[in-house]
Amino acid sequence: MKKQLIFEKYARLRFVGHLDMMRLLQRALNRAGIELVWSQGFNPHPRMSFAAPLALGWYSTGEIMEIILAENISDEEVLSRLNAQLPDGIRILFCHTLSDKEPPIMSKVSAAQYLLELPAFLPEEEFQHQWTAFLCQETILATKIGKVKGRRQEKQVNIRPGIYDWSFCPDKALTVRLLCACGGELNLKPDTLAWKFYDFCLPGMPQKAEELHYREKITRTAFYGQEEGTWVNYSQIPEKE
Amino acid sequence: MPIQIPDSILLRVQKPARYIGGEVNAVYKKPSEYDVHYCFCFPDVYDVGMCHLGLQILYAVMNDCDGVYCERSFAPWTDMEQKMRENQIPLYSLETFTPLRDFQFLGFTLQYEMSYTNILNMLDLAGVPIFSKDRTEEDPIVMAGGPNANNPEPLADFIDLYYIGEGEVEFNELFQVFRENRKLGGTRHEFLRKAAELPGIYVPELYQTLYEDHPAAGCDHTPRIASIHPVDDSLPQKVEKLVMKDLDAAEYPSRPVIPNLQIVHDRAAMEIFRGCIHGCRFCNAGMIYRPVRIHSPQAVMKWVDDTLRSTGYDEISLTSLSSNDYPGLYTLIRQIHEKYPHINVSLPSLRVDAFSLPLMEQLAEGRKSGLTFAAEAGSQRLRDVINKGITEKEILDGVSLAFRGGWDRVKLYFMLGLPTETYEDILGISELASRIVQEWVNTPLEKRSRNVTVTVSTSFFVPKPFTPFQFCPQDSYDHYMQKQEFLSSRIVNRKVVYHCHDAYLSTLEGLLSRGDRRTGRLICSAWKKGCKFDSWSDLFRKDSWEQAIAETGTELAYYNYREREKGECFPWDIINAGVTKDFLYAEYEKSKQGKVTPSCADQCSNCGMRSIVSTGICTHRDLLRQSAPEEESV
Repeated sequence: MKKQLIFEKYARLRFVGHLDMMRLLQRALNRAGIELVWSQGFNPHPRMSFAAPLALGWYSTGEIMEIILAENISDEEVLSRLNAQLPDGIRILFCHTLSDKEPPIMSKVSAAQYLLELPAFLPEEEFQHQWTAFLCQETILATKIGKVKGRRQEKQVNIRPGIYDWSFCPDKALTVRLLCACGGELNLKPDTLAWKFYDFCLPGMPQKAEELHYREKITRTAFYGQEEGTWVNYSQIPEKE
Repeated sequence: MPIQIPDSILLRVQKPARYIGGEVNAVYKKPSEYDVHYCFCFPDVYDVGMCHLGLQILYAVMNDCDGVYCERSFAPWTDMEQKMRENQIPLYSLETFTPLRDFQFLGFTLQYEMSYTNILNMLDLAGVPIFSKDRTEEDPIVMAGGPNANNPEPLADFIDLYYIGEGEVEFNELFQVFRENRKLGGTRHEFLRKAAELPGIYVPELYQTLYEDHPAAGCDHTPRIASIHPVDDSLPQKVEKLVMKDLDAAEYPSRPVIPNLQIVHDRAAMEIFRGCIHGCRFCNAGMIYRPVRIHSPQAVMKWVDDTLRSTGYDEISLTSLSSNDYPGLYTLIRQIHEKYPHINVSLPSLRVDAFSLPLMEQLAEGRKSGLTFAAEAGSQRLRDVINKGITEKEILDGVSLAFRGGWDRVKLYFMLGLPTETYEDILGISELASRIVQEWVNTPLEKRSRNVTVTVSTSFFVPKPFTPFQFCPQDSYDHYMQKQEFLSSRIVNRKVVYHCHDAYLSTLEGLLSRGDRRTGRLICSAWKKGCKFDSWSDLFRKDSWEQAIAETGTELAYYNYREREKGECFPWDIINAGVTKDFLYAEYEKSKQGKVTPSCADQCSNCGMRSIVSTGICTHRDLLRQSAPEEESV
């Protein structure tokens, strides 16, 4: 029985990395007495998958996890039993049942929505002006560290195509809502974008720009995918048919 | 005021989950509602400290004491330390983010000598004076305990109060004395004076060391200790260690704190029995944890049920100094597997002479990776010297069984530098490894795996207090390395892999482990030169230690190289650990003649333990023989 769970991550648990988060959730499921189906093979592990890992320190209000249950348990019961076992900093918002044939969420997600709150280093008006100019560029080059044939290599990539949509947040200073590429093929991390923005605003002052690093607050609010030409929000409660 | 750590710091250090607490099963209380605020301090990084079973036990025991709140703190890794110093963040506790200097007690656990510099570093990061004599009424009482507290003297200048022995026993009484003293408006010195009258408590400032008026034989300027005695006669002449009388009587903690990041041993651990019957002459644990006392299989099973429910772990470890000696071990593991099919059970310290195929099959669950055996010495003669009661035949029979069962990797542990060791004994290590490879060759093709690897690892023998080898000289660095190179050149079999390491750490470990009050200057000097995390090879500063040794005039000839006489006053003579000096010396003499001593289960050797407690195997010789062997080898 396949269940999809939407959860939020906040407080100090944001500093628990993805692999440790998986272990934490597995143990919480064990404590909750929710038994998962185990994979076959040399190293059997419980069947559990995620839309995408969340970077260290980020908040989220729309993470997606999928699990295969070994027994029939109602959505409400999974939600309440699991929440009772989770430490402060992670909370399941809702749970629903999927058809076993449904492709894994990871394969459907191609974008994520973020709230990027920058530290107060500019007045609001100037910020809006600079940000607009920043994103009017056709090319924003960022250094990407990757592996080529097993060797560490740095290369410059244009990250601008990874931004699908953006808007200023009317009720929050120095804040933008972003829809960015998320997934295996193309991936844009909003912190990379923020760091390039500091450089853009503070040309010739790399040290000042560097001091701003990690002072931005990033919240992932939803995962999106393209279905029949339109964006679909997967982190929302699906409408009952 | 709780300490705030900004995101911008946490995101710039490795593994920030080390510094945030918030774990499942951590205890959260309101500090203001508790009159004793205690911080358990582990002088190593979180990922190492959280593997320590004693931490989990004491954390549970103390938080069960009325009016006590016990929190945890670990040594921050160097990147975090730098950030904390840059931003004036003092060392804090993981539960309530309270600065360590605001606690009433800081309790350090002494697990190994090479963590001593970390203790000074943690005190400094906490803003607590390093030296006991410099602390004021505003400062916490700095305590220490754990296995290395059996020689409290090297840290005597830094520690206000030692707790000697097993931690489950006397804390309540100590805290009661603290409360009464505070009610009467007493000073910290008055508290320490009263505490020193309690069993198991050693207060270094109340004991004085006198030295002889001439250097020890073969030494340049270091005199031997003439005596250690209390400053007034109403204090005990010797501090008797505390021993748990009945392990099952104490509630065993079944809600361990679950770390938020993967640690070295990421599983729940329970002790199945304490102590060891074998009496290997190099082994400190085998002497200081006497007598053998067991947790009944019923208690273990209850713990397994409770712990799995409270943690959700999928691996548990049943710990002891020698797993095979536990009565009904196979039955117990079978029961656990039947009840919890997805749970892995791991057992440390399996003896090769008791290798049992069905047991190993049970544990491996189809995954036959590596088997580890501690042979300790390469020749029968030397194994007799150290009283490691296993024969070459037992080793070969054990590995032969393993090869027939399909295992293809065998790891063997040895020590170099054991007393009376000759190059012939060292050659024996290589020969034994080759004979093990030969066992694999002799195993029928259809039964054995396709290839085999025999890994030989050597470490260096370091004499420890309260062992029969406390009297013996330790090899010099050069000797250690010569022996290692010799062995390396003699391992020619291509299926044998040899692992070894630099010996300097073992030289230092020996120096600190049999050190005395004068050794404190050396530890402080090394720390001032930047030494910390000394057991981490990438952070170890050999040059700084060498300089510190030279500047403080510490003589290795005195501490490491000379043989000690029976009549000499040792720094650790202030402690009564149960085993007597007479027994240890007799064992030392027997070792020189290559005579072995029977195990506690076979015959009482009158080690002295019975003079301080009568429990466990001291009163029930057949404690470990509750089930017949037939039943075990199904």
